[in-house]
Amino acid sequence: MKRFVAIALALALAAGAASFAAPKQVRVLASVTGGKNDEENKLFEQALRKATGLEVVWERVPANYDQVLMQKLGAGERYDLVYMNQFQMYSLAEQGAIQDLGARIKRSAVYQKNVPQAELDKIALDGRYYAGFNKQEVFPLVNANKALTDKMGIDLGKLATLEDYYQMLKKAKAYMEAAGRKPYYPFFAYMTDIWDLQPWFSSAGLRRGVFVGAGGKRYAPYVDPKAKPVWEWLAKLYAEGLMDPESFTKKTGDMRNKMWQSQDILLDSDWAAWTGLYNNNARTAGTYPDKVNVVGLPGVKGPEGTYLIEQGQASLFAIPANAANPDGGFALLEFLATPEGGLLLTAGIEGYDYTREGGKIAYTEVGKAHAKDHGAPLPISSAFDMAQLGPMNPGFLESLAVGKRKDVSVAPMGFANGKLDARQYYDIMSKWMTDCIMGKLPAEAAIKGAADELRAKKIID
Amino acid sequence: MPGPRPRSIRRYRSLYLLFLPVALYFILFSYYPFAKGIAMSFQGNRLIGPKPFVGLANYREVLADPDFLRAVLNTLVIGLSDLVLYFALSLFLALCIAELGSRLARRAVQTFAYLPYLFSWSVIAGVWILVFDQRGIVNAIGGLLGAEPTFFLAEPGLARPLIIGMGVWRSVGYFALLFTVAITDIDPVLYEAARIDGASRLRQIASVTLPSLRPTMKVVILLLVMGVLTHFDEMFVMQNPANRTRIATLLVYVFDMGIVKFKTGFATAGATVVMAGTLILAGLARKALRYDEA
Repeated sequence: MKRFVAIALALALAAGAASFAAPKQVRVLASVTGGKNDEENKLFEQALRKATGLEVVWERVPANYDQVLMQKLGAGERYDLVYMNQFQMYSLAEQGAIQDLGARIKRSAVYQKNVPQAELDKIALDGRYYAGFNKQEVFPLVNANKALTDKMGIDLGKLATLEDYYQMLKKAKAYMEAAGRKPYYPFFAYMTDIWDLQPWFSSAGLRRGVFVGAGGKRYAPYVDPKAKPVWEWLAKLYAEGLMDPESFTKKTGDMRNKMWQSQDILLDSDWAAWTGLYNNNARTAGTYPDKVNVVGLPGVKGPEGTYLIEQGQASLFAIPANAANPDGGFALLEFLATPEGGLLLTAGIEGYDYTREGGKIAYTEVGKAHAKDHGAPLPISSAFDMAQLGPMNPGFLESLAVGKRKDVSVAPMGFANGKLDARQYYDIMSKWMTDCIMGKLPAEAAIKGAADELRAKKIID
Repeated sequence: MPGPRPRSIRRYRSLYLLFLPVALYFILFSYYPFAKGIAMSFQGNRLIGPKPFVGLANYREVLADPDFLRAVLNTLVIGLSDLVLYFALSLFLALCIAELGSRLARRAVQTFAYLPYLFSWSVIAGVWILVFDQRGIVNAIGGLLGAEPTFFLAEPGLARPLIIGMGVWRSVGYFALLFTVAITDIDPVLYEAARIDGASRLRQIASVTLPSLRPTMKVVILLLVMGVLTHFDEMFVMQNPANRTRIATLLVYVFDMGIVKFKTGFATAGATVVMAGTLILAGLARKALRYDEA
């Protein structure tokens, strides 16, 4: 019996020692970030393990992510790091489902060195941080097909007011219809979630969302009486056949195809990265730059002389309240904020997506197909050198530069200090705006209707 | 009805053992989540960790929500219209198929009508968009005739008819198949006797076919009643800013609450209302149909 106990004790100690020596597992639930397929995802895990010493299990869910996230967390599955958007972070933080990372972030040398305080301020909830970053968020801006506008004799650099854009669209419609493409609707505005109308509301100095003003009063600038000329302008575009009616029913994918593939439109609003992707797709199809040469524009200047552009809501990683290894989760989060992490999230895996030739990155065929994007086209690390990635898609860096102009203000939409029910806000706004734009209601009545409904649903005061 | 006695359980234990995996499957994957969902409807909106008991607060919140009440209206209008149209049109189609002289023609029509049921709602929506889009087939034909294009998909007044039409196109063939199978089972002697008595074709349908289809009709009606409150996919794929308020059903509301907003207490309260409503409707339908009577 004594012998048996001794052997059992020795085995238990050996097992304990082994588990102490082995790196502790870090389980991650991610959406698009990671390897593009199972094979690459394994390599992605290995690359993270090599870089951090953590045994990373990276579960990538590229489709129906919100549903999977809810089901997995609700079922009590334990993850150490979970991908989410800013609205989800607010909801989960309010429920106590994710951990307050404020103390860890303040202690983190990596975060202090790499992550600008301004970015952290944008995701604060009641002064606390509940997540870290997957990437640096960019912004949508006006995209115009210069290949077509050049042929029409339109100088994009001179477009400054809503009236300028209206005249430009009229000219474009007339030109294209005279060329036999009838009916031609040159402008597309993706109306679901009223995305992205910000460059036009900039003309009135207004931003999307709900803000908290003096005395804690919540207000929605898009339903301010000052917004009326923008609502009317959009309605005029629709009435005169300048705005594509499919703006109300089609998705962003359709909009993008219309822009670069069929050139059914020549003006929309899309992410800065898409300026480059439009051109890159066209280059592959052999239509760049003769038929497609998309450029980014800041939109319309506001009364204060500033272009108001909206930064996308942050894409984040948070540590769930029931995480088994929160230290490991945060260590991994820190790695993603380093320049090395940024390289993995852009260029991909060394030896698979790229090799080093004379210190420079040389992409493999696989790497070229993955287009320098493994979840973060623009890493959060301010120390990350984009130049090392090699030439970017044509127009991308120029669009990115628009956001750095002194007369351009890039800021997120109003989240009402994290309390906004975004789904309701989008639904109410898109419904009333659609009625106005389609000519069913005058702007004044639609604005009043939207404001009344927002108030009734306690979204604004 | 008395339950099985211990002796009979012992006697048929191999059969009970065979049944055990099925019972376990239903307990684990149907009844447990079902009970858990009901329990969650009385708890606070927390995804992780202990969920506080909130009594009927979630129900009060949901039942006072104008979006929920609008979803009830949408669900009833769409669900009841579907019920009537699916039943009437599938029965009519099955009767027409039965009247076709050629077996080949019968099979061809049957297959053609059934085919849409094999497609997912995404495919059906794609076809519908192709037909009713601004640049779709209907507008193209209208254009040839000089008509101004109609924006069917973004016209709030047309939202429900389009959704109902989509469902009819997809499902009528399926229910017609059920009726067709039942028609082929009718004893030919009944028709022969009717013919000898001088009954016309219409009279034969009225006096032989329809009465013989009564059991199948009961099944079809009950299936349709159970589906009245559970429409989701077609709305989800077809919704846009212009039509959303007209077609957002109860399950769309539940989806928004649970998946989009993580408000599991509200979502499960909404889902429990749907379930209770379905049980009540099914119970009423059974009673009205005298379902258990021959």
